[in-house]
Amino acid sequence: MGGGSAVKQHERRFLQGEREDTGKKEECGEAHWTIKAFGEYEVRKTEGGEYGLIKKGITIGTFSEARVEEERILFTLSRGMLLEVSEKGVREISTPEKAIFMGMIASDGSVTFRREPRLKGGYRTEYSSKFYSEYEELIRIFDKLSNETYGMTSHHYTRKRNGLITATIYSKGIYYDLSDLNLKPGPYEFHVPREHLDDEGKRAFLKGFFTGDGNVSVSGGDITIRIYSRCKEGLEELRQTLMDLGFHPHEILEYKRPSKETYYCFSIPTGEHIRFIDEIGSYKPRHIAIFEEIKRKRESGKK
Amino acid sequence: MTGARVWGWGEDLELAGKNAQTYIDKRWKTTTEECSISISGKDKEDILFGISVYLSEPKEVESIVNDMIDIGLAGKGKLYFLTVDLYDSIVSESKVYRNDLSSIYESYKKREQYLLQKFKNHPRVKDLLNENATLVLSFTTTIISELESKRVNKVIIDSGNYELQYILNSLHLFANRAIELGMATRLLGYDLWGNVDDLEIDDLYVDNNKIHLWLGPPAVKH
Repeated sequence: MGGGSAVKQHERRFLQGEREDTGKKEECGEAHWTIKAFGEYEVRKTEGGEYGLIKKGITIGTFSEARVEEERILFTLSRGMLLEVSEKGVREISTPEKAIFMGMIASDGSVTFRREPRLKGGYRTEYSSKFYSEYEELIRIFDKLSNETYGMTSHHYTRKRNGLITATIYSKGIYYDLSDLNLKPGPYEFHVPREHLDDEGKRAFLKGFFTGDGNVSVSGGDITIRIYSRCKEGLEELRQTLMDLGFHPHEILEYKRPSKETYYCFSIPTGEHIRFIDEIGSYKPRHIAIFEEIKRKRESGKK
Repeated sequence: MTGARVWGWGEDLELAGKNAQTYIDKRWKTTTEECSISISGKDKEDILFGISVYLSEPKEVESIVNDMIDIGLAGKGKLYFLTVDLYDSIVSESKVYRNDLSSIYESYKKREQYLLQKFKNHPRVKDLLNENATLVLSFTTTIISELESKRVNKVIIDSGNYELQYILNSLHLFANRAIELGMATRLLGYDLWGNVDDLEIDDLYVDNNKIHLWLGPPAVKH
């Protein structure tokens, strides 16, 4: 499953299907040809249709699937991860589907475990990854992404008095997979796993996060797009992620409340709203409705 | 004063009441005269809100917290956390917010005029303002209100964001739900909270002859 440290997981994935260079292939005479070379890495395709990742002449991985792009090659790993090989080296990145899933959990979810004593002695540990929403549409999207990434869907619990739906996936593997990425260390905390996100993944993560914790306000005919959080560090990572994509988010503001609690928030400059809507967007029905209205107004304003 | 956060978003909602009761039972001393239970969150319209109840007896805490959660979730947004504080005096006596709505509108208008004058001369705005241009201001405001209660000593609700009417709508939604659930009997009044002198420019956008200015609290220092 997904247990163990990030290093061990990396080793397992990176050396997936590892075959020592015993020379047997040469004896069998299977033809291969180089399809890409990046620095000390070389990617070969065999006549059997497999892809071999070669480092300094040694096969360090064999994969059945690969996506060859101009500047990189992507190999499919397990649990919604891809191995990216490029001039910059090798790294594991998340699929866009997993990035959205992680963004939704980082904003409106949790990754927790609970130990409970058994009647017969000893303890039972329950590992869970949750997403909360009052929108059934979002729960369905969460389940679809979970199924695509992990092959699992969630159990749903609806709070009768107000309709809040909790989608819970009980899985030790998913718990460890997300914990290794340090996605949700505590109830108010989150991190953006930027080192595991390419640009597409960053956009996807932001969309997932914004779906949960994004705010679109209409004020006197003006629109504001903001992200609030209790977690200043996580918010700064979201800003950095937006900046990686060429956005210019405003500085983080500190909101002190009468109850003495502090919130943090940053906004997207009005001049970048349309770009934000087009490139990031949201799955939340209320956001989508306002975004469509903004675009309609801007379009009619141009005419 | 002693206090703790006893529940946070992501934790089981049903645990909030139990945790609050356990904490109060453990920490309530002979010198304790009052405790406050506060829930804070954000509603679907992006309004940050807080709901606090003050009580002199550590009874029925679980049921009070469950009702507070229902009041908070009336905003169809997100609850951030639940905190409990214990005091050696009746602190709720000093929480008096009893202005009527018309005086709130008047104070808000004064704030707006003050900020318009102040930011008209701001270096980022001054050069953009000409005879035809108008300055449109949006600034953070928090309204705090006091509610009478027979169940607890007092209920205090606050809501804050950029648009006065949205803030009042949010505040009234929570107040009405509190009255429906028997947490409060009536709304006694309001007050404007916070200092406008701290506000800084968050966003500036020029659209034809309108200069839109969003004012918020100071940015976090790195």
